[in-house]
Amino acid sequence: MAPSEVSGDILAVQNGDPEAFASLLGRYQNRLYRYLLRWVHEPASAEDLFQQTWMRVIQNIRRFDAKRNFDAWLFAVARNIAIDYLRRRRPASLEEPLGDDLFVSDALATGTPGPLDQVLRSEKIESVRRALESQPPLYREVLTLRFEEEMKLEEIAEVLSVPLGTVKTRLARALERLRTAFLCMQREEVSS
Amino acid sequence: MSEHERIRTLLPLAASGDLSPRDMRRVDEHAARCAACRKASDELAALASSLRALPTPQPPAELVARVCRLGTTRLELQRTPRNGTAFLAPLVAASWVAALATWPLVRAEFHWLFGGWHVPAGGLVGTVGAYSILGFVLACASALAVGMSAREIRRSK
Repeated sequence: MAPSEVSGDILAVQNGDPEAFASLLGRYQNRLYRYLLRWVHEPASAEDLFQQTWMRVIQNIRRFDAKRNFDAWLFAVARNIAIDYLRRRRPASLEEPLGDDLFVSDALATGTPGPLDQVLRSEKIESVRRALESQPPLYREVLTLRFEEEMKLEEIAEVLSVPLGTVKTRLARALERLRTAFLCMQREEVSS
Repeated sequence: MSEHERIRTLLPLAASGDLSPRDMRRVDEHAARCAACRKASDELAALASSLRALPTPQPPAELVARVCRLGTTRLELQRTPRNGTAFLAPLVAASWVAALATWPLVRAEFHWLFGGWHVPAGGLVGTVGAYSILGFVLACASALAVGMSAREIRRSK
């Protein structure tokens, strides 16, 4: 759907149109649910946060400038709700140390062809999903926004309310850590 | 930091397609002669591709229906206060006029209750002025109480 149609729906929702709200919900439901599920893992929690996010959207929609990027605004709303939830539940787990362990996989690398060489095969997708779930929330988030949502780095910076440089750094670390985690999982599977 | 280490920091962003053409050229040139970076680059690119191919989980249909229902209700409730606000000012004015107009009747009927305290010094103009101000203040306080109560009800929903 064209951005102008999205803007039209947003303006209509701002005027209290329930059909426009249903249209907006339909358009974003899968993407938003996936994003929240990547944050919290459990479907029950994701469902709760999904509902909270839409209620918050309705509460604040009149303050939203329809010329702005609605995707970034919506995901930022969802993000705040998810972070509040995680802080209440697991106060220390949101930000694990973002150390400089970027190249742990160097130690794992061998001269033989690695298991990632055939990663595109469908049976590997599940391993990638598990590796993704093993990452800290902030890394999962940036990977989801970049690769699943296919957002540009500038959009991600808007969602996260951080400078572009921070997004680049976080994305690079997240992808490198994911690679390390994936390699470890593959090695464990091979050895077991 | 050596050139190799510098390139290593660029590999993830190369895999995600977020490098400038100039940096991308640097990565390609280095990877052409560095087997370790070439391997890491291929692995990262494969991971990026796998992430894009992850299945999208669907929210349950009943959840979407519930959110849609709740959203519709909220939108309707949000529209109500604007109408309420529009009606509130004339309502306050009308209740004030009504209170003022019926005061002589109330006074006549319940003079035994009020005694003589309600007649301020200063004659007719002073009396009407005092009752007007009192009536207006009371009407405003009532409107405020009604408004706050309506807001609480909306929040509780």
